[in-house]
Amino acid sequence: MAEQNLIEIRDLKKWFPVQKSFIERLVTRQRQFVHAVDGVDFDIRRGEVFGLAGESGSGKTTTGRLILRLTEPTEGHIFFDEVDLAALSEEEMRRVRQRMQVIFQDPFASLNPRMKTGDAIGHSLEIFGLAKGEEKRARVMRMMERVGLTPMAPLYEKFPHQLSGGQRQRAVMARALIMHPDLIVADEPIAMADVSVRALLLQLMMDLKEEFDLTYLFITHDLATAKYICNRIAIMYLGKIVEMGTLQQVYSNPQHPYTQALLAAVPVPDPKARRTAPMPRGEIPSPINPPPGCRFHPRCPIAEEICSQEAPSLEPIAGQEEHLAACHLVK
Amino acid sequence: MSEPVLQIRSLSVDYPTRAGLVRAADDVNLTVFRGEVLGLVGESGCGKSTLGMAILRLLRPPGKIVGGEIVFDGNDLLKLDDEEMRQLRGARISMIFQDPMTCLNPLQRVSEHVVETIRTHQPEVSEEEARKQAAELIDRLGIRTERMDDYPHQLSGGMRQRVMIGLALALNADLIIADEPTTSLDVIVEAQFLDLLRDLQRQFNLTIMLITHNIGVVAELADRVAVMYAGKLVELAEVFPLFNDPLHPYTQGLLKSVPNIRLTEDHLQIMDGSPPDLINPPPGCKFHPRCSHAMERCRAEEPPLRKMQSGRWTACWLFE
Amino acid sequence: MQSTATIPEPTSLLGRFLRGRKWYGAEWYMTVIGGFIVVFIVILTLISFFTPGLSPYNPEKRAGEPFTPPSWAHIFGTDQLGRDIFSRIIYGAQIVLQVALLSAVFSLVVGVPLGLVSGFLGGRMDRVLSLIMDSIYSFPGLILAIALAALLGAGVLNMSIAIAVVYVPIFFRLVRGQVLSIKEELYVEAARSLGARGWTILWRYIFPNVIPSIVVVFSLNIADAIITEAGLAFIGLGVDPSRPDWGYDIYRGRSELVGGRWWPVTFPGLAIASVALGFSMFGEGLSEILNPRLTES
Repeated sequence: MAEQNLIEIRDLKKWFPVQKSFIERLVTRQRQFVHAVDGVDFDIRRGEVFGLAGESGSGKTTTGRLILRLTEPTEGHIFFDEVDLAALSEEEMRRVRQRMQVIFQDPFASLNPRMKTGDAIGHSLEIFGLAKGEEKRARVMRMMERVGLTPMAPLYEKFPHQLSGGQRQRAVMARALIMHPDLIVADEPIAMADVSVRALLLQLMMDLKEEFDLTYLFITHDLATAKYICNRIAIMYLGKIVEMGTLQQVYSNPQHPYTQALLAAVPVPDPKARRTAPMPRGEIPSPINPPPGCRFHPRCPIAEEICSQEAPSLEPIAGQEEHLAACHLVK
Repeated sequence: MSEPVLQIRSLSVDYPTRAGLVRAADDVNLTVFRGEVLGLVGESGCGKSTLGMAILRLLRPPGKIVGGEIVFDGNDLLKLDDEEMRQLRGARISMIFQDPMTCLNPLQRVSEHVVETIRTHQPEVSEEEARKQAAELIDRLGIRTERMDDYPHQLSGGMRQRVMIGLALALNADLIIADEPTTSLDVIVEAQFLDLLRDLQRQFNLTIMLITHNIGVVAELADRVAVMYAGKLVELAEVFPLFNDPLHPYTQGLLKSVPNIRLTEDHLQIMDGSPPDLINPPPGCKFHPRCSHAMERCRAEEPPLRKMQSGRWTACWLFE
Repeated sequence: MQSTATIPEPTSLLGRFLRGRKWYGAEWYMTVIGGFIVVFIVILTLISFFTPGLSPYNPEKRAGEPFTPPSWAHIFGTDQLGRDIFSRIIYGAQIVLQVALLSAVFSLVVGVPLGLVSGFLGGRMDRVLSLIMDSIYSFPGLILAIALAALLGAGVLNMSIAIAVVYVPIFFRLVRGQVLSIKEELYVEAARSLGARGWTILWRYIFPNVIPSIVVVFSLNIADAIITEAGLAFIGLGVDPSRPDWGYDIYRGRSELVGGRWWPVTFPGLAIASVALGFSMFGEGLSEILNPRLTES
């Protein structure tokens, strides 16, 4: 495993069995699966912000949960700092969790309604025996100040429903950071915040990254935001990565037709830049029966025969070791 | 200049809550002209959705309209009785919501829904004729006609939103109010939907009031833009001048804080503070605590919405 | 999307009540009136424990002519042995409330922990327990209580246990159902991602969120137990025929209705109904307050 990589993902798969009715189970012997994540490979380097972008059904959120082992992989390996997470016991995994934390999309839903904010933020310190009582309180207050959750003393005592949306957002950030983890998996961390506050929160995330020497996995559907914060990015479609590279490479020179469509589709806050390019037909197919060959082929404007027969692998494009695309027509 | 379809004058809406009274909309003046797409933009709590619901008098209790008038086709909508209002809704003023699942009857096939809508407001049309019209409509929406007999849950989110426009179109509604129509849609589907809306709007000269917090969507589609903050209308201008040269400090801050995928990474500017508490709003101009140009007057008096020489409107003491 | 505007919210129930919501809905009135009834009865009962002087007469001794209709001397009249009914009502409250409270507490103490563990751990134990609980639950409550009461014999404790057994499945099912749904909540997953172990999650994340519904059911349980106790006393399986008991008094007095003597039956009946109603209303009102989803968004 390369020294610079904090996370290495190899051939990761997660298939969810589809719930069928009793009759259906009697009649059809075969089981069906939702191919949520279907063979994904990538690395996350220390100190970077790695973006995982895609629309619904792309598998990005599931990938994040797999890394945290909040759900078990069907196949594949997740290496965190040289350790194969799948091989760990529940207890060992629990200890690893000190080093990787998560910020969920909905701060309100991810906070215990019956726990005071201060207690919620500092709970992990108690769990791992790192601090108790006064010392825990002091550390929580320091972290609250750092994320801008002020005035600290009264907010410490408040319950989640008494906080504003922005305050809850900061609370979950404080909670994730209090143990000084190495990796933060941020799943749509600002999607639910007010528009005028998002920039502030992004800036806060960047500042915290510098200060605490963090690595982020930034999961989002918003490519405009991703551009602002990520160093490298991977685009997912129906459980597979279709393109991956540095920000510059993917945004300025997208190779995969899906990436191109996605980048063109993002609404631009400038009427002079109104979109003229047509969009691919149709909608995202069901991940239960993904199309054969290249999953994007039914909607792809340049699809050829090979695309419906053979699935393309993620390969570097000509002359660019870091910029990869999964498309027969690219190389 | 085309004729006004809807004129909102001095409209105010209050919401009593557990903690106090919220003035969700405060003395709003707005006119919608025929054939235009008017974008109503602002963050959550600014009053834009409240305004949309108020027009159709669909405010959820305990919210209520406490002042002003809404003039549509010569009548003040606030003075109509329930039956008259019911006849208006759907037929002459139509609404598209964020989540179409909640507006489409899950037990009714799409075709039935369209047919019923047509025949409710035009009882003279026969069942057969209505079904033909429905098929034409559905085809025009970009949905394959084989799917017209599906139930709503069998359609995807994007298709359901198209059905919603279809229902509005079916009756040649004078005004379509679209409240966050694309917020729940994926990016590409959103783009498809906006394309459809743009085409239909051009083709049928539709009048659309587009309510959204997404600045990009407004830039894509709107002809004129109204910006709301804390229940008040703070700026109103045509779309190009607004984006080129925003006047109100809030609009300036808002536009600069939204990521633009076409620009380089460092373009975002942060706006201080957060939207105010509407139960105890700041005195004077509600934006003054966050405004870098705030003056004494801003803390004391609330600026009215005034027309500038250029024909633009703004509510700010800087321009008095 | 959530607004970032701060919404000041009083924390405690009392705090919210004191803020004075004049326009607030029916559940407040229910809770308040129900609460008053309950408090009134409880105070009355406590007083009757400590100062027998509250009731005008000794409820077990003859105080006047038998079957006197309600009058100034005897507000509720007298029964067939000349005992003052009003005094009997006050003293009767003791038994009723003791049994009802005790049985509700027993049900809670047994049903809640079982529900928590069963819902959280699942597996075979959960299936077996659910089966047992469902069996008890499907048995008609009153019949089961009668059978148990007959088996165990008289006495406050035995009666409480008999009634408690009927209600254990209710707490169990309620708590188990809540645990199952709370287990899926995002904040529980967040707790796991923080590294919390099973017991921590159960104790600090799941249990506190189950408490509100437990309180509500507890209140409703008391209401139900009151009626069950009265029912048992009515058919002669009461606690102690020698002590004043509302259900027993109804049993004794019912044959007199024919003769036009309504007061021996009516007042105990009203007492049962109003106390049960009081607890019911209190519980229902509390439920509405703690789950305001349906009233306001």
